[in-house]
Amino acid sequence: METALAPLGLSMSWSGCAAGAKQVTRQHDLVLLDPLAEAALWNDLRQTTNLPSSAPVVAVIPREQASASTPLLIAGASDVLYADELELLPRTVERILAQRARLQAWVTEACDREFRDELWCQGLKAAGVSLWIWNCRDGYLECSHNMAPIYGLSPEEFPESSQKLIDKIGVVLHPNDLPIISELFFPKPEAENVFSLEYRYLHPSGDFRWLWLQGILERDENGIPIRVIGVVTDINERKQTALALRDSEQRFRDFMDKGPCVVFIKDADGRYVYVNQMFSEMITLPRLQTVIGRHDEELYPPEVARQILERDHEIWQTNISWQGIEHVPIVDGTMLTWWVAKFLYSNSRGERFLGGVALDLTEKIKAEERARTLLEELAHQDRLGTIGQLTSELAHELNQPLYAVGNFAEACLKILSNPNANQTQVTPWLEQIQRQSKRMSEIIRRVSGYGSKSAPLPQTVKLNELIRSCCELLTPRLRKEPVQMEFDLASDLPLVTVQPTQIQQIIVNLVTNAIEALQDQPVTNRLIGIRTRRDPPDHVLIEVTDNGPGIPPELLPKIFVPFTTTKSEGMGLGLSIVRSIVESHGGSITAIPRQPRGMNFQIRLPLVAPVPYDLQFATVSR
Amino acid sequence: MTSNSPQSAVNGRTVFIVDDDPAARQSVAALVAAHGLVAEEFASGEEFLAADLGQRRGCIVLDVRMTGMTGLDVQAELRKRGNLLPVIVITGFADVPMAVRAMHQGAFTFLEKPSADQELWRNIEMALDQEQIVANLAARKREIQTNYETLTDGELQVLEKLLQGEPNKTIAADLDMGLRTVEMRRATILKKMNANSLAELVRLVLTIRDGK
Repeated sequence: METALAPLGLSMSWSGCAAGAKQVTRQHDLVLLDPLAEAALWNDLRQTTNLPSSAPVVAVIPREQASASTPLLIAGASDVLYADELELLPRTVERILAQRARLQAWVTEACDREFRDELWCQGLKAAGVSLWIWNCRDGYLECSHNMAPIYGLSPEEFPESSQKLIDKIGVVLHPNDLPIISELFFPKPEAENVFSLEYRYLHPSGDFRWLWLQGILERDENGIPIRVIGVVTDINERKQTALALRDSEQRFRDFMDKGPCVVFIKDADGRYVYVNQMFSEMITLPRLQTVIGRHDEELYPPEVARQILERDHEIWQTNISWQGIEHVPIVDGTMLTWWVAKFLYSNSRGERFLGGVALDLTEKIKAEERARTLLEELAHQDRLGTIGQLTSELAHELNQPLYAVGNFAEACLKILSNPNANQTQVTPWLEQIQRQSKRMSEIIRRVSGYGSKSAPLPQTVKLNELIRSCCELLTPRLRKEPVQMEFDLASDLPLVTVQPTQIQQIIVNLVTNAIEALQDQPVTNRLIGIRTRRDPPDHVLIEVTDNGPGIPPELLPKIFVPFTTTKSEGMGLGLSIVRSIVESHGGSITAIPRQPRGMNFQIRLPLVAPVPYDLQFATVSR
Repeated sequence: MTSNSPQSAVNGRTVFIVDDDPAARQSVAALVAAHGLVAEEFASGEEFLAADLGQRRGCIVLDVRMTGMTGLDVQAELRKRGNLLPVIVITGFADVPMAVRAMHQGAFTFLEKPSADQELWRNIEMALDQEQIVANLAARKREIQTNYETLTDGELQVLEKLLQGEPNKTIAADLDMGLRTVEMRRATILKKMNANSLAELVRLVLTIRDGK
């Protein structure tokens, strides 16, 4: 063997055992090993040779053991020779040594120029950038030490040998990113000379973190890749932010496009800069293709556009967000009623925009209108029913003045037909005729008012007067029964804005119920009370009480439910209509048993009844 | 008592108006006044019953539906007290049972408010006419009674027989008196009773005995 090596000018030292081999150091250029004889030594060697450019090891094995060569190569042997071809050793050694020399030169150069430069290292560290060099021909990787923290390792943990580095890095790469990394390490001839890629690795914390790798590919004169020089930067924070941003953008798009609203953004010139999908589908005219960059005038009829722009202008001027109703047509020309919110906002460059969200309320408003009409129709029928029940009393009420008028007129005629009679005595009688006519028209007005359909819009009225006037409607009934009525009406009651007829209906229904409840009671002990009070800050309280037998406890929870009745006649709708009316006024009603007997119906009404949507905005043409 | 001096009505006849509706009441009073008669107004049945009518003449216009006593109750009470003034029952809200009860209680008539053309006044007039007849009849009755009370026991004995249709001869035999005596007493009776014939005498006596 010595002879074989002599031409190379190499000296040899021998060691017959593993212990000797441990003395192999970096000044040894080459180790020849018979791994089969010294299997343990082999392992020791690999552990001892911890240099980045470890001493090349050539394993010598008998030819019949050829199958052992692969594991040896894998384990890091530079080459394997069969024992019977030792004459090839010089060439092998030569090649290995040449390779090694090249590497060492390169490392020396690199270390001299870059890694050993303290300032340079500091700079890299400060920039959070790690430098690396991959030698394509030799499969040798070298990198600056600040690579360790990038991979979440301490400098001590960071492997120094190229092989260990590759091993270490190889196992922490995200599986999906392995292909791009391997392309980098084994560049194809057609690969780009400059590259930039992002990849993930498994941080000791257990999370995949993002790195950014940039580099250049150096080629020899034939264009064969020689080495790759690049930098790695931890971009996890940035990447996470970017991902979060992408999520947020996705969320924004999903929200905008999957939600039930039409959304738009206009710039200061009134040009649309963003509309969501629903806007595009519902409002964008097909001929426009897109509304981006267009004005409202191009989208809507002039009158609609004018109203929208006036509103926008106001918002731009005042910078006050606005909510309200707009009537805007959709593609097929149908005018819809939208609830719209508009507001100003700025982007990071300080540019201001007008954002808007609109919800189609057309169906809701129609439904509300239907419900309101239904209630009013029901309430109207109920009032007509009440008048029907009161007919005989009302007839009597009208007959009185009619009778008086007839008699007075006859008396006047009698006097006037007699020239000798004292004509002046007819004056008070004629005045009486006048008074009684007025009394009759009062009754008729009251009844026809109660029986009419109520005005759609609430009116501002004095509640006490409203209550008194509807009780007059019941006066004949109260007198007939007879039932005593006591009023306790607060003098400090503020004006209320309500549907007068409907409020009267509440009172009439409750008093009528009370009258019926009192029927089995002695005439001297039938009492109905009506009481009004302020209910600060913005409500009024109306109480209708009686001293009747009260409502059976088991029926109490159901009394406002339609078709609940204790009476032999009647539909059981009276109280349910009362509740519907009270609720449509934004109020509430409760039935409270009184001690020792009787009922108290308490109604709380807001001073101003809410105006239904369809009436609130009825002024705008549809 | 609400208006009009009863002084002027003492000798004449008065229309008593009972109605709790002032306008209704006053209108009837006006009607009565226009016809030159005197009216007195009462705002309730209780007020009317509290007033002592004594022997006062006239008629009553009584409303049925009033607070407190109803008109029909007032009518029943008047009847119980033996007041015979004709009562015109009037109501703004009539039903058949009400009308039947009023008539059973001896109402002169039953009218609805408002009444037809001059119907109320015509009925007041008719009621006053009837009252006149009743008053005349009562006066006549009182006169017959007075005459009747002048008869002696002997004359009354003969009168009873005459009423039974006995001829003089039979009366004389039955009463064990002379035929002449019977004839004399019969003439006296006719004279005292102011009767022209036996038939008239019988009618007069029956008038005062009616209902007894």
